Amino acid sequence: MFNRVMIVLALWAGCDSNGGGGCSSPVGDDATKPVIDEVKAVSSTVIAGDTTSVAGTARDLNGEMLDYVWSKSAGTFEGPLTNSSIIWRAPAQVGNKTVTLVVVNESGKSATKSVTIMVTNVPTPIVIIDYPTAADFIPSSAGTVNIQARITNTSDVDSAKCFIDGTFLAKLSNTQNPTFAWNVSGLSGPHRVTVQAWSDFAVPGQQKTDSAFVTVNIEGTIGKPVR
Amino acid sequence: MTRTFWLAIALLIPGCKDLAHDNPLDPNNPDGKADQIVVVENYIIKNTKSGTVAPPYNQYSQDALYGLTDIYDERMLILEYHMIPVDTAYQDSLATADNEFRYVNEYQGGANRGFPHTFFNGKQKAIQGASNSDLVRTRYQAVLDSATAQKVGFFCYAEQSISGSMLTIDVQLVRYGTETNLEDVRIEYIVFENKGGSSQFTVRKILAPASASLPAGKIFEPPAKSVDIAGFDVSKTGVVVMIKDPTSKRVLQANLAVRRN
Repeated sequence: MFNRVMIVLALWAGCDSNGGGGCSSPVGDDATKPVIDEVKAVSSTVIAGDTTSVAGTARDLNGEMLDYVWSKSAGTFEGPLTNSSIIWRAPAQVGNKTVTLVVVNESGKSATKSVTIMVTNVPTPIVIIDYPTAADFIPSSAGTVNIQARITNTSDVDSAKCFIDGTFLAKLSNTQNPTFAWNVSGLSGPHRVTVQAWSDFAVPGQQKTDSAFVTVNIEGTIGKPVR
Repeated sequence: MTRTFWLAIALLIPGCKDLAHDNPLDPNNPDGKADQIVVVENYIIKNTKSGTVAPPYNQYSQDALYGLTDIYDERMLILEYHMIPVDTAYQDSLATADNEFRYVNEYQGGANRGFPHTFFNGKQKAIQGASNSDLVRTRYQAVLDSATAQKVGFFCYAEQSISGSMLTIDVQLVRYGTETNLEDVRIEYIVFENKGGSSQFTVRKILAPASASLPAGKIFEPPAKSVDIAGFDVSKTGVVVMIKDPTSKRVLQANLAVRRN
């Protein structure tokens, strides 16, 4: 086993770090080499910092046992690296990245195959406040008003917060359609409603955020006592 | 003599034929339209409880409407219904149970209770609340500009006369001949009193409504209505008559009764 790994490492050192295209197969009888039928990523496009599973399907024509050795042009692996599938975490840098599988049989023969995975930026969320709309007039007798927002351009919303005149009102997590309850009883005059959303992003400090605001007029009324 | 007489007749006949039908009370008025008069029914609370001060929202509303009277003149009729405060911190000495009944059953609909609640020609167009006089005046004016620009196919004329403490109201409704018959409308009679200051259109009595159908090209005169106004300042008491669609609660036409005595 140790010898086979050393052979693979020696072979791997001669490979093009950008993938299997430039990596030559070991010299020898093809009939004694293992065959990699496929190396496939569950997601061919991954958001920076996110993970995907990569699996290889290989066989040995002589029925020998195979060792799996994984390498990558960027990013990191998570979990065991000696199985036919691994977990790859994309780097923060965007672009095409490769994950390469080398399989080695008991005879020390090897085969190599790579898969290219596109790493993209985490999409910036776009916040839209559907209700209330700008310059709406809302009587204070309305009591509780539901502020309805939509978060588009990403399906991975970490959280959304609502602020009234810059003061925190509420926070909701993991929803693209947050609704915030705002009690307008006893209010009168213009108020600024802001909704800010953050996309879900695994790399600390690189969350994307967007916010939207509307200014509405609360029209004072005398009705029920303000609690 | 005889010749002169027939000559005069011959001259008069074409003259009669050409008489102008521009009187709004003429059902054959070829214009077939009358100015839409807009009734602004303002449901308000004016706190009269000593020792407590209510927020000025209702005053904003009243100030805004009073400031618009010069612009719309006779095209706008204001009625102020004082409501009974739910909040026991306040009182309104001009509030009446009739006003409450009218608000709840005719106007409030699905809206939450809160005043000022201002309706323009019935239930269909309302503005609730006021955060300052200028802003709410702008909102009122936008509605009034549109509403007073309308023309309608009938005219309402009313007269009020007083005998002792009894106020009698006579109404004539003209449906122009160019229109279709107007079936099943409701005639409402609202007695108000000018109590000065910011209580110039205080509703004092709401009379039982009458039903009517208005045939095209005819004048309809419902039976006169009488009401006891003992205790009112007769010289400052008026009546607004409005014709309403009982289903939509929309005011179709209205007028201020003319004082006969």
